[in-house]
Amino acid sequence: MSHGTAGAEESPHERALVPLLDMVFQLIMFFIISVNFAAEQVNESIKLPKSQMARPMDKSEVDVLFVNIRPYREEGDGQGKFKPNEPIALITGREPMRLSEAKVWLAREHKDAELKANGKRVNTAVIIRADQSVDYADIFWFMQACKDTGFSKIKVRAMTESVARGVD
Amino acid sequence: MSRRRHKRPEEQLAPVLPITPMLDMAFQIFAFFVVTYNPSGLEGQMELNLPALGEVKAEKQEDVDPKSSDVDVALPAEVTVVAKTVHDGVNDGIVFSGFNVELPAGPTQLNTQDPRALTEHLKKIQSTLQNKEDIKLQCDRKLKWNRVIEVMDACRKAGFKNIGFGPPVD
Repeated sequence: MSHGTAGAEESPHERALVPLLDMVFQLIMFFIISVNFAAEQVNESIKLPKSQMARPMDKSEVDVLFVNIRPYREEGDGQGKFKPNEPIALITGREPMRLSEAKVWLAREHKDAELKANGKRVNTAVIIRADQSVDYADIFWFMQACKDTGFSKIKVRAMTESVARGVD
Repeated sequence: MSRRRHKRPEEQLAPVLPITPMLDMAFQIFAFFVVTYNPSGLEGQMELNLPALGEVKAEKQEDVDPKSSDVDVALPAEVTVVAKTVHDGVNDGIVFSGFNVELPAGPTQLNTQDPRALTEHLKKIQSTLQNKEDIKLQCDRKLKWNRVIEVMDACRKAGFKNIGFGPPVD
């Protein structure tokens, strides 16, 4: 990156700045890219319920599957595939799907996790990010689906109290 | 004959940028954002108990192995909270119509829309229970998820740590 030209003298300080700037830019790029990866796990269209008793997230837990659940909205999602207000699952890298289809996906994920676990217990946690307007029956059905497919760790996400106050 | 070199007007006006302090500050700001920025740090989470298998449930407190890490072998919840919603066609799923607290001794009906009353009632009965940590929650089919979370909060505030779910009641 150093572009020294004949006749133009550079001080040692100036020469050291160029690789330094290169490194800063590379770091900035790395963080921008990794922030995008983190943001992809969650879905902005989900309005989480507020909870006073929700605990801060356990960052050490890395073996997780995120499932976003919300009612289908014709105005935002386009028409055709789902009925109005039908609960749909939004999973990173996949098209929106019905909860029954999400159950099939869960079963496949559990099978893969079993293979990776190599005979040990599957330790993957399913993190449900459900919109506040979803019916209890739908969430209960999905929890049962998690259990039926073999997952034993389920966590639900909510906005913590201090943030909930801030939003109000 | 010596030729004097005259600077061009744009060379005379070229500013000298203080790069080193700028870089210092950029590093400090950069470090600050790296340390503090957390895209999903505003969210919290709650762990849930999945309904355990009936055949491996312990019948009595003495049967529970305190060393066991198997979550399926646990004392069944003695108390069940049933959260009900109004069915008036307008506030379905949004407004509570009351809570039923079911104990082995018999159910108690709380005709209130306020989950704080449920918390107070649960605090009172908790001392009479053998299993003071587990509670089962059942709700009306149409009850909205934010209302369910409010009931979960009420249970946790009363001191119940593990919340399990039962099928919709209506």
